[in-house]
Amino acid sequence: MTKVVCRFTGAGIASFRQFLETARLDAGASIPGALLRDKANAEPIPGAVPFLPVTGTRRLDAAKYVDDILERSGVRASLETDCEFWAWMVAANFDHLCPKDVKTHCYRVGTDWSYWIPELRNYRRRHRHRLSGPYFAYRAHLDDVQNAMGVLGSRMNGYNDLIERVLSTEEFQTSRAINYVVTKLYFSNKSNAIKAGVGGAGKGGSRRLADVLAQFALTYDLGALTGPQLLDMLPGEFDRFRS
Amino acid sequence: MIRRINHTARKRIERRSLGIQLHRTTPLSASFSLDLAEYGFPRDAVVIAEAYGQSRNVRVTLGAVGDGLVALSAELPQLSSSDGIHIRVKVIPAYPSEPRLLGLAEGVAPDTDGESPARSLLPVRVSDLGELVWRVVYEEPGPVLEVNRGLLAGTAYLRQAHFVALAQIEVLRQILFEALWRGGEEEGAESESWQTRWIKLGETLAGRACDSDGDVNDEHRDWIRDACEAFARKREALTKLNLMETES
Repeated sequence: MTKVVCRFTGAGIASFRQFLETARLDAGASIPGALLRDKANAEPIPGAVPFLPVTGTRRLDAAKYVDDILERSGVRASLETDCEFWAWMVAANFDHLCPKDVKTHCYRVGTDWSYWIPELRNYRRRHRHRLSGPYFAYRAHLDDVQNAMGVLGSRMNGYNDLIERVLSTEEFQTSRAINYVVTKLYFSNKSNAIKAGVGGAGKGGSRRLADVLAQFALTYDLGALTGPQLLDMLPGEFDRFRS
Repeated sequence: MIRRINHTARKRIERRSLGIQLHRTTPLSASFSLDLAEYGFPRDAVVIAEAYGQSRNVRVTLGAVGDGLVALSAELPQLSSSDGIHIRVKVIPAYPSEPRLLGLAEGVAPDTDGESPARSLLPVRVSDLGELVWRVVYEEPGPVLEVNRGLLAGTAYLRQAHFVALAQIEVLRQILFEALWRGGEEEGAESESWQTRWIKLGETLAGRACDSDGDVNDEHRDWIRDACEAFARKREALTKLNLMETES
């Protein structure tokens, strides 16, 4: 186990990519300890921040976990845009963030590696990263996190159609009104989880919501609408999720 | 070029009306100097700027339209750098009217201290691409050519005959296809979007106009092919590649 939080070097990133390639097909693959520790692959971030693995299951847990590390580092701004840091963080918590397929026993790495190595400049993909995605959503709603549970209440280790649709632009990601609507519609306070049947293109589902919001964005200044105002503007197909 | 139809009443605010300067101060700050007189917005309508990028969206209320000249400087402490920041400008009716958009400018690349204000048709960025040598990514202001950080020749490789002959023409083909697929400007707008700029380039190369509203058919594919062939001729792609082989 590595002792302090690090960031990958160029060689480390290359080795991590090789690991991802292998892990997709090899049930016996695991993150080599040397990848996380050796000087050739990793270097400590400022602040000598002790490394502790992520705990919890929700994206909110992941966001708070990283937020604490960045706070301790004292160089939040530079680490926020440091792909090698985010990649190392995922690698160091890989078992927790990447489940294995029950049939093949291989990591469900997929072919889109932006889940593991962030594409922070690519607005279509940057929200996908398993740690930076939740973190930036959390920071955008720091003063009212409960309002963003629609995007922070889901599992940290799985694909999420709701996230994919709602977080695909900064305007949507940071809009209080939109996050209010997503949370009111799709997050159950009773079960403290995302409601069933939210994903997909069905009536009132997340894809429909993204389409409707994109339409509204052509007509309204979404930033000037309150959450309840926006919720009232939605068509009747979303009523089944309002309760 | 066939244009998408704007069914709403909002007006498109042109880039020439927007003076926006980002300053690399601590914290980051911006100066806005807008001339909105020509759009006929109500005097009491409110002008809002949103600086977005880095998973942030910072709203700044610039004030009422008044006589059309709007100026304000503001700090943007939520943004850690000017890197990748773009600006959206909105004009909405004064409260308590519902916030329908009266005017909108999207994806405005601000002028930044010490940088050229003009955005290149195809900005180049060095990125970590694994074993990929290059790729084109589409961001809100337009396409960006990413080149692998590990390429020994660096961005100088982009000017070599190999790249021109084997990749640059494919870059052009990909972007023209994407531009046609995404469609052009809204009706009544000046030609400002990246799609329009690229389609204009394609029209110059192919020697004929191209109509598209998001549907890409065989005629469009022929137009793209002709544009690429003209580009290859202009660059003497085969000749220079052969010359390079002969010399090496």
